[in-house]
Amino acid sequence: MLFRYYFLRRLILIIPLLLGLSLLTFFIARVLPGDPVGLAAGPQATQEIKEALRREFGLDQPLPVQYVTYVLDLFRGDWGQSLYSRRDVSADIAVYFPATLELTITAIVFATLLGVPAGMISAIYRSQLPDHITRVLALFFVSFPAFWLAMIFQLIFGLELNWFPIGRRLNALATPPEAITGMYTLDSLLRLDFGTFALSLQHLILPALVLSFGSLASITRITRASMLEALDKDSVRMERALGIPYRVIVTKYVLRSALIATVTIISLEFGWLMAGAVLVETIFDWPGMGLYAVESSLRLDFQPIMGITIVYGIVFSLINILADFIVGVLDPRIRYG
Amino acid sequence: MPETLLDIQALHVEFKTFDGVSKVLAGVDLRMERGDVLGLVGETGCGKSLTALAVPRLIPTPPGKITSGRVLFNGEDVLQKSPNEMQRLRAKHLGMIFQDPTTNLNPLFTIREQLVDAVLYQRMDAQHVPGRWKGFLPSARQTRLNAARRAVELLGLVGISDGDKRISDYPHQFSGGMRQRVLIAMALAGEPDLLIADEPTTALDVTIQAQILNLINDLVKRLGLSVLLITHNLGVVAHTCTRVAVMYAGRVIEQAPVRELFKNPKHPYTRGLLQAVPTRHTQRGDLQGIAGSIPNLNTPPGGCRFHPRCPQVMDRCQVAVPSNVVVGQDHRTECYLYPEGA
Repeated sequence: MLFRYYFLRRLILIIPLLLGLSLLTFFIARVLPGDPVGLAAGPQATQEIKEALRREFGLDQPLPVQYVTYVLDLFRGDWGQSLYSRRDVSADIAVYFPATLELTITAIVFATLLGVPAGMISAIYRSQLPDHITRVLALFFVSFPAFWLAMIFQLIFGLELNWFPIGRRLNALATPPEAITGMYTLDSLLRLDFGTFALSLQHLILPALVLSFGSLASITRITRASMLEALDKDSVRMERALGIPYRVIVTKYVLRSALIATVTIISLEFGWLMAGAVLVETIFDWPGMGLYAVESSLRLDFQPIMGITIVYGIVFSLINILADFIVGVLDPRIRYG
Repeated sequence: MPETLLDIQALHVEFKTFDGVSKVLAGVDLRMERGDVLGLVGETGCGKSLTALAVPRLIPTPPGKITSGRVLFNGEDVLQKSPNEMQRLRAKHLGMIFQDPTTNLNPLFTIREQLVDAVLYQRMDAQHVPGRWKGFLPSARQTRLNAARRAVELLGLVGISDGDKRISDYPHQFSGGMRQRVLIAMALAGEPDLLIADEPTTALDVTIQAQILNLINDLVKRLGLSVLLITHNLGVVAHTCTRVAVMYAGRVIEQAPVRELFKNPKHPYTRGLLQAVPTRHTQRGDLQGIAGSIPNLNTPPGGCRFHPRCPQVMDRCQVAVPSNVVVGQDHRTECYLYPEGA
């Protein structure tokens, strides 16, 4: 099968996947104990008010009918409304999702740019000082809870050294760039507003760095392990026997083998970062999906919960396909297999 | 006067293992003249491959370590060279092929990519090879293009006639024999003085074995190549080599021209080896092995390392290692059966 047909098929397969996902979350959200309508209407609400609210949101219908209505609306672009704030879920997600995406993409870029070279150095100087240093640091970062590191970083780089702001996406006085993608750094760059770009970047660095640490550690360790395995191959000995300089062997031949495992781990980490961003978002007062998801869950506000789940489902699927694509580019045996 | 190409003198190599230090090579002496095709034979674990790996200094360190000895190649001791000098030596003067052609090619790159790199680094100084990031410069592209043309010629040399098409393929699209041909082409890209072939046919089918050996024979004739051929197959030696050296437990115990050795083996171990090869006339039950098994090299037997298995063992064999004695025209052995200076 041709490589591109394979990916076309993978893209189409996302649709049944999302249907299954929505079905599952829909019923889980509905059968959970608790009274979302009561919570939304407030403690003083009379029975009539609650009934009216129920009718308005279609909650008086049988569950299967509710589900079909929900899915049909979804395809029309209507993601429902929050019971609590009455705001459109799609409008909320359009604001919160780019914020989280900006944070996680930056975090994964940090983790990759630092982790892959660190893993390489660690493997090349196996059991020597650079290896020991990287391994201790990796263990350090993977062991410390992100919220603790976040506060320490705020103290040191925010309050003591005053290099970075300790929260929010921009100053209260600055105006965010007009939305194209919703990511402040990208939007300000696209609109050639370099002042806002610098400012939003400054706000982004600290939370992204803190968020990246866990992944940085795993990426370093996986890169080290797969580099060691790749360095041990017969083909490396052959390349050395041919008189190809070691530097070229490592950066060209060995690195590509090692990156196959690393790319897979990076894609998994990216998913975890999105899901786990809530701690960092809370500490850095970053208005993203994590905070939105937690608040909605606490109020049993099922429409946002559904919307968030579906967005995460799409992101996970796309990242997986992207990772498979990159692995296919790196390894011809997968491409032609 | 033939010119000495390779002269290994009293080479000692140790390996650190969990059970202690293994003295794998204990004073290997081996000489090759330019133009020789020297077969290095012996049982598994006797140190053939390690001796060969010592020449391009590819013994994995740690756990292995060259503790003493000299490896003179073209009159210079390779053990004294810096890593950069070593890389140049491997590129310009040495070629090496290994046992398993499948694992010795990188599966992720096309044959072109690997062969062109071999050509570039063997025919140019490393600092002049255009780096990958300069690949878009016209001069760099021209250099790689020329190297690719040379690569196709090399494939022709090793008997791959449609090299211009096959060069874009990946290793997994080649058969085992074809891969070994590609590896030979890579090793020969810099026109080396010496080709070291470490059991090049062991992983191949018998018919393909013959093809590869004929190819090596052919290259020897056409290019005047010197070859150090490691094998445990005496048939391969008879087919290909001009001289042969027999190793046992980390020492070369006998070396001679091929006909001389097969006709007139001196060392009891060599005799045992030759008796263990079946011929067309061997009757069932006539085939004789050598009693015992190879010694543990962590605690090798004192004196001659073969003495516990030797049918003609004497008292002095257990005390001191016999020295090299000349026993015929270009024929030497390490055994007390033959008086020194005879």
